[in-house]
Amino acid sequence: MSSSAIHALPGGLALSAPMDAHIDATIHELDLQPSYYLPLINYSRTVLHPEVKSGDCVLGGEQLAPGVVAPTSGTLTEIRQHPWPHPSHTQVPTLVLESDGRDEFQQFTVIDHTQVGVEEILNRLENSAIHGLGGAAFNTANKIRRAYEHKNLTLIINAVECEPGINCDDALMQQHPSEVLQACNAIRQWLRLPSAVLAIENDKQTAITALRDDQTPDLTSIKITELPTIYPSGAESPLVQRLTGIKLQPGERATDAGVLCLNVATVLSIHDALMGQAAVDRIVSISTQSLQHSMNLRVRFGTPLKAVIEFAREHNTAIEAAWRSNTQTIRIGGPLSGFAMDMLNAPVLASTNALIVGKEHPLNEATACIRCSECATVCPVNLLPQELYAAAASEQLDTAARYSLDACLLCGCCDLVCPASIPLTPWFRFAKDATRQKQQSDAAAEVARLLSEKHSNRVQRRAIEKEQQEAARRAAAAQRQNSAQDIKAALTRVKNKRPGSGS
Amino acid sequence: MALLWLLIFAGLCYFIGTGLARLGNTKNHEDILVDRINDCLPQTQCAQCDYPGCRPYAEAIAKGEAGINQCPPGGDNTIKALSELLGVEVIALNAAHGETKSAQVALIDEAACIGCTLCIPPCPVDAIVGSGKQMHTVIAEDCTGCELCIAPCPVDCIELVPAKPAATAWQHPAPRQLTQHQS
Repeated sequence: MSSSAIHALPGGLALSAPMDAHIDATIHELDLQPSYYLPLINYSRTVLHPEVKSGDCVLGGEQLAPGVVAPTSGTLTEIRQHPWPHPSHTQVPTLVLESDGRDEFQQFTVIDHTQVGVEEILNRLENSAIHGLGGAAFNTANKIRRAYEHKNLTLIINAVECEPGINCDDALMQQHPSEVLQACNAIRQWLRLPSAVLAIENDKQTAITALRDDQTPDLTSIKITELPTIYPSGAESPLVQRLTGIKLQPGERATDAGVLCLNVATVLSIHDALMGQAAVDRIVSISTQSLQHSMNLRVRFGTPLKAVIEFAREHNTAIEAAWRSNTQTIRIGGPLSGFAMDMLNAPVLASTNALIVGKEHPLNEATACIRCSECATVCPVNLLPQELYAAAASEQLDTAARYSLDACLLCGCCDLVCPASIPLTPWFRFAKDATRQKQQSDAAAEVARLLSEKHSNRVQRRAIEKEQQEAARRAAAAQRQNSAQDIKAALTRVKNKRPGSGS
Repeated sequence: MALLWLLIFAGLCYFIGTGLARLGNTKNHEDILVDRINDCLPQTQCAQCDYPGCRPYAEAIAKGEAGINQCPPGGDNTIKALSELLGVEVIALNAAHGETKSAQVALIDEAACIGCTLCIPPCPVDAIVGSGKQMHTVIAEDCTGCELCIAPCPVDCIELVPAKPAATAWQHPAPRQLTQHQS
């Protein structure tokens, strides 16, 4: 970092939890569940192949498929179609782990980063299935691998947590400030960096005080940087821009620019994995629809949402009341970035950072765009949402790409300010998916075109070869016939010459 | 003097330029048009357009012999792309050629396969592996779902299945009738 000045965010909205909100920063523990559900699919929707079969007994922390580890010890009873926490509301092949109640874990060695190479560390992260806990659930080992190549690496620990209704990282820092700082420092040392930045929004004063109080002299290399409370400061590209001044190009990732952003809870998971402990849980925030009441719960991956909701209802009367107002659906994620979910037997995964219970306000009827360009003013990455919307709604994907659809964070700021109540972000989600689908089908068509070219060339070549062989065969037959006639003629001549013959 | 040098320089640029242009442009205009039409087609190679494959159909369109609405796998998207490319009206798919289906791949019931090899030559993308009296199988990544292998099978052991699992194929819907549930 060249300077400690914080660059301005071009847009964004000052969103914050209600002033009188009751946020319970205690981290409650959920009891061991009878069954855990582990979807065999990753967040980029690639189907995973299990390395175990039904009937196998496994220990906690054992790898079951790439990126999937057992959250406790028990028996894998079956692989079946089961809902997963995704807006598609689809069912996917899911490993069902029946807990044996002993909660035994596989023993891993402690990795000393001064003794081993980077590959061994990344392998450990890979085998421990460490995923980002900030919401996007990227594969952490891959992210670090991409960043590690850079000579001038900057490490940012993302504790911004800018979306109201999500306070799991806040709770973590309030309750475990020394562990957080130790883990951050360990990663910094491993990456051989002189310092690292821990970015946090200035509305989390309790957590900031806890961290500062706990900052022993050897931990001053972790610079705690307070950011003004503006949503979406915590998204990767605005965060990189604010702290380093580097403006990422559409489609470019922070790691490409030599900046490694790791969520603060992910840093703790990485530390746990290197210390030989399985990282099989996360903290989930559960809030009421009004965001007036919020509590935090440590939940193992694979726990059904239903169990989490039931615990919250039992321990928080406001959540119980909100639940009673709408028992059909909950929201997974924050009020802006999340999605509605009505399949409550779907499990909690690394991406499940928050749940919102209660009745949502019905959406206003969308009217025509009045070209006020409020959306462009609030866009944190300087896009023109009104133009993007026109392109998306007429399904002109090329035009949308020219307006940098790729750079859209899907933060939802434009939806909030639109006086015509146009569902802008849902249109951008649609256009992003349609673009991805188009790219995939174009790539598949190109493969098919090359294969069919090869096929028809071969068929043609075979036909020519066959024709040539046929011609050769005919020529040979004609030759044979000719020679047969020659022999016959010669024999006749011999017969005629023979003395005493003839009539 | 300077003018002379300038003229020599301009002349050199002209010769190098035309030379490079000739080197680069090995295809004639007609081939380029066929290529661009072919790029709009889904490359299923199913022959439902009544031509033996996507490229022959593209050639027929370029010659003006075939309409732009004869490709069921491409459906409305292909018609739209072709109409934009050729500057002609968007028309409805000709139902005589078939209807648009979602992406599919062939799947051989390997237990039922008798290893007759009859399905192998019709496959336009060589996506079936097998040899005489040996089990055959479909390379799902290469299969275009053209259905050409279905009819030749004497024991009817080939069926078509969705190309991707539902969760992978799913897309965020266009929010035309946005409800709370989809938001």
